[in-house]
Amino acid sequence: MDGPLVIQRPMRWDNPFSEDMTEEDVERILKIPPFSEMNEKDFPPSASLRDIIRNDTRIQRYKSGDIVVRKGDYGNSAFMIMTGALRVVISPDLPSEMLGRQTATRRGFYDSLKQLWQNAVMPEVRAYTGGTANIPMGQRGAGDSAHVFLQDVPGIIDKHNTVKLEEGTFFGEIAALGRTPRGASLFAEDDCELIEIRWQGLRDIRRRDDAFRNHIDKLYRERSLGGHLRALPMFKNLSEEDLKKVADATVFETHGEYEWHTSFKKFAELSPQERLRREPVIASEGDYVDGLILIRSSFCRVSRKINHGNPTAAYLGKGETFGFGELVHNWKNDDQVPYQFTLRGLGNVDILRVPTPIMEEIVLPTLSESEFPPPLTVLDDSIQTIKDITSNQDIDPGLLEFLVENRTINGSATMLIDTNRCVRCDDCTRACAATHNNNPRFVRHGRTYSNIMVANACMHCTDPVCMIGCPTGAIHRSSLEGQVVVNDATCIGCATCANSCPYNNIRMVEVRDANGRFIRDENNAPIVKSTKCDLCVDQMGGPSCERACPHNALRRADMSNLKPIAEWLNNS
Amino acid sequence: MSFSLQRFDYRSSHYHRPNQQWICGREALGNPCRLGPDNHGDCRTVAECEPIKKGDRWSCTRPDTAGGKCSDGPLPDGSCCNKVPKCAPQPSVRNQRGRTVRWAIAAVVGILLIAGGGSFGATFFNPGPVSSGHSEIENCGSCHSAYSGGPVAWVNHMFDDLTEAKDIANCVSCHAMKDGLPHNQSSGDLADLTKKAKERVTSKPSEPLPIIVASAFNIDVRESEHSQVACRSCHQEHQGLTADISQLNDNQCQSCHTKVLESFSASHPFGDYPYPRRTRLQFDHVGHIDKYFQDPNNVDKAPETCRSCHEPDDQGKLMVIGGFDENCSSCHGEFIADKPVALIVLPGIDMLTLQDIEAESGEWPEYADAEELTPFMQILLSEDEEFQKAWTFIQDEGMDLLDLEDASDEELEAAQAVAWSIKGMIYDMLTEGPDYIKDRLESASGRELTAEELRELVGAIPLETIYAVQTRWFPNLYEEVETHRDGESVATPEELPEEFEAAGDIVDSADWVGTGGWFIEGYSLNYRLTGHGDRFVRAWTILAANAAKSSESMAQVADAVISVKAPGGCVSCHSIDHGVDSGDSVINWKSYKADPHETPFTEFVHSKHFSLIGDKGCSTCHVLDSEADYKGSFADFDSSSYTSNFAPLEPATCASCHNSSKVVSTCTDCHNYHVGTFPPAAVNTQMSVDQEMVLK
Amino acid sequence: MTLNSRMVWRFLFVVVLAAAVYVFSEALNIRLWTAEFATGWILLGGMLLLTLLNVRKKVPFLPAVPVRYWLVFHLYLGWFTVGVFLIHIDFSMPNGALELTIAILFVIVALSGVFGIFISRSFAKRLTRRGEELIYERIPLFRHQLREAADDLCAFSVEKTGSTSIAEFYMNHLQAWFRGPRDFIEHLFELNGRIFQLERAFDDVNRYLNDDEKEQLEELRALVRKKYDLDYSYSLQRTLKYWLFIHIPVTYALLVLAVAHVVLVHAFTGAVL
Repeated sequence: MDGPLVIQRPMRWDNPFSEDMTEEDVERILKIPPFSEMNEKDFPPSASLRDIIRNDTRIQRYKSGDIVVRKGDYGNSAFMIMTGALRVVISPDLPSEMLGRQTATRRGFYDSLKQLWQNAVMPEVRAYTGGTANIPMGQRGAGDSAHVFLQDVPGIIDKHNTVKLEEGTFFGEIAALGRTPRGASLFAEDDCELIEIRWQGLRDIRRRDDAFRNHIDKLYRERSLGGHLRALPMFKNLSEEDLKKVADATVFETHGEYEWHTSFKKFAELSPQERLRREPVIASEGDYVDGLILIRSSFCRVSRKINHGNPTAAYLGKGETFGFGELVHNWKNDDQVPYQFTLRGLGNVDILRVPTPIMEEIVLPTLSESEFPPPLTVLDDSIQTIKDITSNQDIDPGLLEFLVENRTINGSATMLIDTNRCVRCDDCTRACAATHNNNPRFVRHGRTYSNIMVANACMHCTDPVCMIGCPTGAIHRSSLEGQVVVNDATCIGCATCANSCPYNNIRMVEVRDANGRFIRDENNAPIVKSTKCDLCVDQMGGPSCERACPHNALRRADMSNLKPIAEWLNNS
Repeated sequence: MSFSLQRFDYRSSHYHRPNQQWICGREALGNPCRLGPDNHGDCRTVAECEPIKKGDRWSCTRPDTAGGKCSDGPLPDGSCCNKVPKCAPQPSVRNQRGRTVRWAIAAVVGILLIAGGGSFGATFFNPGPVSSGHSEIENCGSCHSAYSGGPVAWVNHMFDDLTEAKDIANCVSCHAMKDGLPHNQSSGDLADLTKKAKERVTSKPSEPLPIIVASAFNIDVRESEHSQVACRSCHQEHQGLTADISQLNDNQCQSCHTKVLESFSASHPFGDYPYPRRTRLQFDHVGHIDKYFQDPNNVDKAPETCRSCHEPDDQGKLMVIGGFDENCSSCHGEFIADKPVALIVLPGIDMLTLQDIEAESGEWPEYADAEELTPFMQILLSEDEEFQKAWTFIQDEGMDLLDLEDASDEELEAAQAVAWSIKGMIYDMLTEGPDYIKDRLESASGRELTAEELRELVGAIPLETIYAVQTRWFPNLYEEVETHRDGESVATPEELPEEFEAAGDIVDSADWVGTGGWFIEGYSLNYRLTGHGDRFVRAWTILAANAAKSSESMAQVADAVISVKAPGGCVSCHSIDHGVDSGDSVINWKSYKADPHETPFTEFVHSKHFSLIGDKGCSTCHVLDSEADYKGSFADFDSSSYTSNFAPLEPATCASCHNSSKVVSTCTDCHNYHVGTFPPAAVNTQMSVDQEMVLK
Repeated sequence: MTLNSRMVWRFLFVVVLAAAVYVFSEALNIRLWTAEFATGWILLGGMLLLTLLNVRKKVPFLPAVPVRYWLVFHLYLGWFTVGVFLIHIDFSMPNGALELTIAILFVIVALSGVFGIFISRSFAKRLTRRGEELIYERIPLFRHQLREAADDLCAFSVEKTGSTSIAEFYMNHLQAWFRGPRDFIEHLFELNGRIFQLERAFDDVNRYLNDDEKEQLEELRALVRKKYDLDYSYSLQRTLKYWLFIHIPVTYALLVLAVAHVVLVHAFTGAVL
């Protein structure tokens, strides 16, 4: 029964990136380009370059063979080499076990059946053979400065296709700012020092320093923008140079805060209106349609003001567009309509804006009738009911609000339980335990809207914030179907993921031996591991919880498509 | 003010593990130990952490998941300051359920073992009390051959079917039912019965669904070996004391009788029921009722109702008639004895001529005048070649023995031979007695005669009568015959014996034997019947009926007795049935009486119906058919070819009551499954001799 | 529990199937076969299939038919088996000790099953409608917490306001009630007399309180309402779990006896085909 908790306004630099940044370090960094070339005048006193460096950067020292980043990791910081050299692995990537990933294999029939008698009797039993967990690479340090290192660097270098990165190279900024997985793995060729700048720093520098911004934007335009656009049906007819034109004209913006999950937890107790107010408006209803908005990461809420509320009409995720209907309408007809809905950012949203003129001159002419969206029903002020704007989806508006409000929309395999059918038999939980060596990997409780419970089971988010800052990369996307899985062997139990999961779906456990006694480290402290639903990645035939439910009350739902959910809910 | 009981974050809510067998006893108090009970459900936690010695100081090792290092830190002796008191782990819900299941199984298995082993098994496994008829039987084994040998043997018996035949035997050991053969008929009889039945049933009515299905899957009637039908197929026991296990339903009948009747009223064939067979006594109802009873002379004798003659038997089933004396004699009594039987007669021979030519014929009454010999004499003379030669010669020549004036020597020879043979016959009868007759009868009928038959056939003839015959007709018989047989000639005397004249005025012997008996009239020895059921004629009729074919002479006897004209005219009422397979014939002296131990295919209880029939009375069902050639049916000896002088019963007549709306009729209302004569099981009681008595 | 056309059709199908079995058994009877053998084996087979649901649940890792289909199958096969059972016993209670036991056990299993379906459909909705969604095993813990909260609240009120009104009220009306699960049956049948009675008691005591106490009373009232809903959830969830304590053990007992029965009938009245 803890009453409403009081939030003190979060202050910038309350907790610096690293406690042990000295003046010398700051000075040292300021002497190296590009920082040396930046003009301190451009920075406001509230956020001076010096402060940024002190608070948002740290100097990381790696020994030969230490892995700096792995391909596919989600990182929130960029690096610059001060001394020494790194090696970047050009594809093919290093073997996954070498990077401390789980080797992904699916059980055969017999292996599945074996679980019937081979599962442990005690909870959280692990079969370690003493010493450190037996994995093909070593571990150094602890906490979030822990490093995984490769043995026999020379060997790896001549076996694999790698490129040397010299001092002064900047890398990882796109992944850091764009919330995209790291593009390649890097490891230290010899002992070296890196400047690590966390995303807050990057953001501020980018805002203040033109050179840096242009550098970043250039990189982005070159590397990924084209791809992003190509992915959209409306651009697929374009010739290379047209596409280039479009790309050049495209503006990209970032809305909302980077670590939305922390604040999301903080604001959980606030009133819906409060929370809505905190969501940045990207485009608002009634405004001139200035372009096609393409969501590149995270989510957006689409709403329209009705009476004194802003009911949610829909939500948009990665790769979806906003305003296309309006654009086409205006291009075809004389009567010009504004944006019909308001677009709000949920979490840290990256969007691309393709300006209206470009669309009208280059893109729309290339489209055939069939590729246009269905004719727009213009919403005038006579539209005064929630039904009118949510009519297109047969799901309860309240539920929709609920899903958006709790960011459930992030899930690609959210566990929904229809409590009108669920008889609380816990067959799902026991099925889960049966498929995970006698350990459930979710808890059959969670936020509930009317008869829909979103149980505390990993949703395998499209924007997996839990992955940010895992020191050993133990938590990663499986190579099988991209399920988010934790490699028990390399997990060091730092609970970073558990803390950052906004949905309380990751749980820390103390592991035990076959007799159920805790396994302890040399300090006699129990070994703790992070555990979560792996969607039965290694089992035949997908999540056992869903299959085990006798009353058709449980579904692992991909929130990017509400249709199946609606069907499931509506046929009793 | 509302609040939430649960928190979802990983620190406050750990995994919920319903799959574990045991739950920490303090779970409910909100402070369960981290370790939890072992898999035997024992609490094993001692303290919250195991402190470790760093240098010379002990430090707490409680992990963050459990609240991090404690404020007080370890005790000086290096043990944790937060001791965890032992708890009593609780079994999880699943655990409890598992136990309940195991207990349940253990319980029933236990019961079964005790029952199977101990004596109370019989009662426990008994699928229900047997019907009161069998309730005396207490040992399962006396019906179920499989019983002996106990549970293990039972499991084997599951797979061998041999016990069934044995079980049938068990039933039959008390119920004399000729094994389990259908209708207790030999398969042969069954076959042609079936044939007949099939002919009768013509209509093919709509069949009930189960039968259609049965034939669709062509399910045959279940037979145990040797095409027996297991008793229990119909008689299912263990239905309780009061259960009627002998009750059959139509379906069970129709398992074999596949040509199915919709219902009795709709389509039950009757054929010539109830007159399939010739009545044993020939009684022309039409003639009597329409003619004789109407005759004014008979009004006082004519019966008033059918029941004056027909009365239901003890079981009320059959209508039986009283004897001749009650029912027939009033009219027919006098006519039975009105015609005497001639046994011995003397043919007339022209003695004057014989005297003139001085033939050697010995004496012969002048006024004997018979032209034919009696069948009786034919039998006695059948062995005598000379007679046979002479007699056939006479027959062939058609010569007249009474006129021999211009007869040839040959003819004269024959006439004398006949005379001598007949005299010889009488001589032999007197000298050799019954044995002489017996020999002739046996050779004629081609078989040994029983003493009883002999008594009936011969014993009734008194010696005095024969003697009287000799003294009256041939006073000098002995000398003549003996000399003749010695081969010396016996001349025909000048003086022929006088006709017998009784001295004084005595009654005529024919009058004397008015009520039956022997008498001589002129030159003929006669027998007058004593009335209905005369034993002498009866005996001869039986003999003749059976031996008619065995010899010429017997045939003549048969002609004489087996005819309406014959003395007594028995066969005018008593029909004769030639047995189908056994050649011998049965003369139906009595009308049909039911054997109480016999169960026929079809039964009709007359008495039940009396209360129902109206003014028409018996004629409700039994309608006279004046056209029917009733008499014709008795021309031959075949009982099955028959035309009743009642019209066959109309099913409609029965159906007027026996229909779905009044009296629902099942097969077994009129028909029996077990057909045959089943005498009740008799008990043999050894008469015990008292040993002590013997010793004394 | 809402009937929809799908259920009706399935049920009709089952009825037709059972009818077919009946006709077939009649056909056997007519040909003097022991139809009870046929129906008996169908019955046994049906029961074994029904128990397979349990087996299926024990191997969730096999990609076999999802349990939800198994359950549907289970339900309708159950109805079918009831039909065959009636045919097998010829619509009349058997009179042998063993047979009677078996029949009674079967009836218990069937009835408990029907009861199970009923509560599965109805209780789930009722649980959703009222109170918090809780894990059954954790209910005792929450009960304990509520009780402690209530105790503390009263102690606190005494020391803060110096008045014992609330404490006494708590002692007289609530303390015992907070101790453990209450109103089990009432909750099953949605009989809410208790809460009205308590609410009235609150209103009664309310008039002797000052503002501070009133505030505390409201908190106490909130605790009471929570506890009441907790009991509700407890009795419904407990029933949902424990009906299986009849259904399943009796099933196994039934199966064992059924096998014994099969052995006996075949040993005594004709072997297996």
